[in-house]
Amino acid sequence: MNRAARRAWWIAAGQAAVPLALLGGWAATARLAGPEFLPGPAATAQVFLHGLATGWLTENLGVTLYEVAWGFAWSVLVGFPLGLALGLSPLLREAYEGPLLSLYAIPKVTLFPIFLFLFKLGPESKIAFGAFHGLFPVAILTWSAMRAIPGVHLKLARSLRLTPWQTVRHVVIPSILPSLAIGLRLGLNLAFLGVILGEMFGARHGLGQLLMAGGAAFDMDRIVVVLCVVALLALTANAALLLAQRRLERRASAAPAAALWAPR
Amino acid sequence: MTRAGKARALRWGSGLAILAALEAIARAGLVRPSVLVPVSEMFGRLAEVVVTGTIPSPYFRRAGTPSLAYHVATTLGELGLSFLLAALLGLPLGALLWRVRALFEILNPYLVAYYAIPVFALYPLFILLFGAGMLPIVLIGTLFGVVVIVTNTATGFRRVDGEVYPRVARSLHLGPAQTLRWIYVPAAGPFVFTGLKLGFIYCLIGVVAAEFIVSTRGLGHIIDRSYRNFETANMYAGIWMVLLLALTANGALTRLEIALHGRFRR
Repeated sequence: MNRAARRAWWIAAGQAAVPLALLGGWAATARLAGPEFLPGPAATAQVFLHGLATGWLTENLGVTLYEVAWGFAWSVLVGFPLGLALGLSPLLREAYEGPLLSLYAIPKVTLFPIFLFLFKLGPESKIAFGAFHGLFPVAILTWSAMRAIPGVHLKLARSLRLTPWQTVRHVVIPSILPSLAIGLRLGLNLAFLGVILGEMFGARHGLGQLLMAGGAAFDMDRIVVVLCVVALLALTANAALLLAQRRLERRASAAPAAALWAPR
Repeated sequence: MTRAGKARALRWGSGLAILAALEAIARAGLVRPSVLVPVSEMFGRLAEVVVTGTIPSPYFRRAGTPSLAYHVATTLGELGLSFLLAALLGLPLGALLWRVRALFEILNPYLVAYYAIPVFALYPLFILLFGAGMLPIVLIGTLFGVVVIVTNTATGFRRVDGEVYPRVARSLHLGPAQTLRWIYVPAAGPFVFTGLKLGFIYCLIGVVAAEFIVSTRGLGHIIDRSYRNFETANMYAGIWMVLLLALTANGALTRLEIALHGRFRR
């Protein structure tokens, strides 16, 4: 093995060790603090299996997945056309870029009561709130990637007399695809965040509601299980979209537009 | 009219149109006043709360916390503490990831994935572990803000490594401390500042969100309680207060950031 290969091997080993270290740290803390204070991994696995067998976990997981799926779908359905509009029209971008970027930076959670007024306590309010969180990165990465499209490509589209739809389909989308993939990943992350926040504040079902109910009942076991499920869900979804993003980046020879400062 | 003028007219025109539409909908009685009050009443209430310094609310009077200053001081205190913690943890950690390249490569996939996890989900756990007080709220703010400071600090300094400046330092025979002071800090400073700015905004979001979900004081708590007690005008006044605070902070920090990036541009 040469030096570079050996180094790559050590990096990979280090990466694999991170989750193991977290798990070990958790187990050690639980052992030291006592099971009433913090349940350990083994106890948590037992509660997890109980939740699957009796259904309290699966039912609420199903509700959350449903809300995240629809919330994400709506954030793309609204965010992508919004980004396209701002990308295609310099006037619209100049008018609304600033306000939309500021909206991205406010604590949107305080607006959740309005979503409850509009959509009531059921899943719809969580779907709308998740979509409201997720649409910003989708829109922002769409329009900022469109700024990086070489002008000659758009000129070519004009001289070929492509319709607006054809221009979007054959010129815009292929060149912004890598950035769009980042936007979709961040959009999904934020839609998930919005749904969990909404469930924590006002809901009858869902993982966020389970967390709050567990807190009110001092049910530490339940809280830790739900936390693990939430984290694993988020990491799995993020990893899947990250993989898709990397593949698109490799395919597109051009460097992806770094549009957002934050890895959010 | 120039495009900039048109854009400004469009921006302000549509903003005012939305507010006017909300005002008209509320005044016409199309929705119940427990759901929407006229915009003029929202701002009237906001002005009243700010001028008198008290929230005109039976609930907060009974709870003994009608003073606005009390809630503002709580939120700002939690925000200050959580940001301080985030910066004190984030800057050295970022510097460490810059100096130890292998560590950066090992942790990078986890840093990228970090914001996929909704940190707020930890809040009920923190309340059970540390009690309902300032500490769990501060911790949520810190956890939400720290990683963006780490990544921006590390990538900011790593960028400078790839530039010509370190070679300048070597040919000028600068010592390590001098190189840091005269090369790295000015060149990486704007990126570090961007991380601090985002960290501050994230801490604010984290603190207000935690207050909003469960707490006994703070701006988020005002909105939460007003909503649950059907004190709709107070709720909207609280929402505007938080939004204006966040927009002001973000605007001021962004202006500073642009000035910094402009100053150090080649």
